Amino acid sequence: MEAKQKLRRFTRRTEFYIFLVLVVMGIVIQSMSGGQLFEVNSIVDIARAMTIMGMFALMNLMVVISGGFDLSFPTLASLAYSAATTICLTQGWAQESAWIAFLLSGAIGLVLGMVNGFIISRFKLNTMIVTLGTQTLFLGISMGLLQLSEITSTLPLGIRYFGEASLFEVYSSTGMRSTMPVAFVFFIVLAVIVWFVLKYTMFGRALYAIGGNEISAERAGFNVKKTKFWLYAIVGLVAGLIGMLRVAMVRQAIPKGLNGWDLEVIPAVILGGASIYGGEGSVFGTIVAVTLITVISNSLLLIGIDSYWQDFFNGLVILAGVTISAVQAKRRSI
Amino acid sequence: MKKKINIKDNYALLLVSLLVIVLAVFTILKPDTLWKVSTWKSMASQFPEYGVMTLGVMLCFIAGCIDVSFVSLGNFASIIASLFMLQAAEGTIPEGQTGLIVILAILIAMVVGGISGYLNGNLISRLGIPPILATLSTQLVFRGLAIALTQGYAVTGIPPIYSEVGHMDIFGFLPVPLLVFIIVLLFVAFLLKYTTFGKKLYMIGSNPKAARFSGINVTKMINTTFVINGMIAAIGALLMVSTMNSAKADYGSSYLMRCILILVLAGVLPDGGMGKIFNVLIAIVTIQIIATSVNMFPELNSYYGSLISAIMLIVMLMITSRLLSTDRKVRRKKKNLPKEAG
Repeated sequence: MEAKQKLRRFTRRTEFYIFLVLVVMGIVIQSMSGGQLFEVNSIVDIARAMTIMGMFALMNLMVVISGGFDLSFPTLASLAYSAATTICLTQGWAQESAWIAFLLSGAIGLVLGMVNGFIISRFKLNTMIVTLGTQTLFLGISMGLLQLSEITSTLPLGIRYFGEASLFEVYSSTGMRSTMPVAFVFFIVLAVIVWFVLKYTMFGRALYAIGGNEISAERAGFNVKKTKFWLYAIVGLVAGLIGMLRVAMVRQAIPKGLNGWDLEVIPAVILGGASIYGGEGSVFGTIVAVTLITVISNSLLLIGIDSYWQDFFNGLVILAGVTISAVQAKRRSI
Repeated sequence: MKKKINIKDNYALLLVSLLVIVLAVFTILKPDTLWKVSTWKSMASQFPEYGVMTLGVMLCFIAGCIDVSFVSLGNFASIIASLFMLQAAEGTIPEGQTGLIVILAILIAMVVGGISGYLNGNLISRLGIPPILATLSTQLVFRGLAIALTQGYAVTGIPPIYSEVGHMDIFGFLPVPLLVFIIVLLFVAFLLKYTTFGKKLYMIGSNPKAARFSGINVTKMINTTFVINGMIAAIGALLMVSTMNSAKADYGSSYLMRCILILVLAGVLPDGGMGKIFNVLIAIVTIQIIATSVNMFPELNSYYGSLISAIMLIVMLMITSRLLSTDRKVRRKKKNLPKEAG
């Protein structure tokens, strides 16, 4: 009986529909591409492509659950990694191991995240507008004030080695080689941490409570100000680390390299069943949604669609997803 | 007489003083280049592109809907218009008919903009998708269509008469883009001030439920707002086409953030129900003056402009939130006081 109830509750959630869409799309693409999607190397490629986006999505999931938005993370992360890489380059650091680059990038990210957190928690402003402002601010700092330049071939060796390290290699039946980057482990670890924090810690409870109703959360004894401040600070810290991870993976540090990611990652989080009004959202849904988007954009070429149509199809998928969740929400409210 | 701190009345004053400060700073720093006629003329042909778009989005903001798709939407419309002009120009046309084709193309762009806006509006009003999500996804859809149509390249070879008109001065001093901006400004101002449409728009923004119960057709209102917004976005994109002499899917990508920045600076928040067109005008001019003045320093790149406007936005937000919160405290205190007679 209880299992039946649980199942029914699960089928009413948005995550379930997104998961169904993912399965259907997988089967369709598999048959249309002549079995190329479920080749081992194709799966590894998808895992590789979704690593960074998935990590950013997990951090944004926490923000969305708390009822906020963080549009500033792309420029925050790119400012952090560009500055960190430039410092390493001029000081001659990170030649053997990359830890100092990660430390620097994370520290810069933490400071920038604290700026976000301070403004949002102290002045009780609309998070979307504040982070829109800080997004422009961080871009202005990196491209105007510091005039950070693109670092490609001169990337410190330690970072380069870190990016080239792989867990394993697989070959497809036609002999194509794909490597699983070490970064994927970090993705899994981050997912487990976020899941644990949201489910079993006071901080996670506070996020859900604040997202559900801020005033009730305050009355229930949660320190809303402090929670919000540390939320944005931690998001900044982790965004700095993720940014450096991306530098290692793509072997270049471009100050504008993440522009526009906010407009792709946040819809992915919502697609995964998180409520735009806060108080709802799960790690499972977010990962399924990111997988769906990555599978679709990776597979268009496989089924013979011009890559120029990629944005269009991504848009359609996201549109379908938000429509499903809006209709679901409407049905629940009636 | 009681003295009241009313932030809404003082906001225009605050903005104007900000503009004066900005002007004063740059007058001290660059007195000879700022006050040249050519400087102001180049400004007058630059800001209409995003100024027009800002006015369209302002209507959505007042209705309580944020729109982030307008730049992609405009580009999509202008690309279709440009492709039409190219197709029409392929068959050799006699001298007199080029103008007709250009006018037809402009109409096509506006129709495409209107239809796309109608799509946005329906997603929000009928399906109940939160505006930010609806427009985020349609942004991708419109940009995707634009890229697919052009394969990512710029559409070139537009009839020269088109950009000639765009660079013309009417009566020798009024650039055509500025004229277009003034027309749109007057249209939006008229709409907001003197029509029931404008009054209803503010009502929907401040309380949609109350608006619905008082008999306003919210669905229709939101759809109409987005249709107007789409048409205005198409006009803005057409202005870009005349400046660049080509159309491309990613033109004006910095305008999205800039327009929202201007609106928020002008006190038009996406929560809805607020917004004065005078404030928006002041904010547009301020931002353009900053951008142009920063360009006068050879050692500064254009990102300093966004740096300065971002700092300005954040500071303004802090100041106004402070004022608002003291306002709230005063009100709370008053409630607790015993009621006086009279």
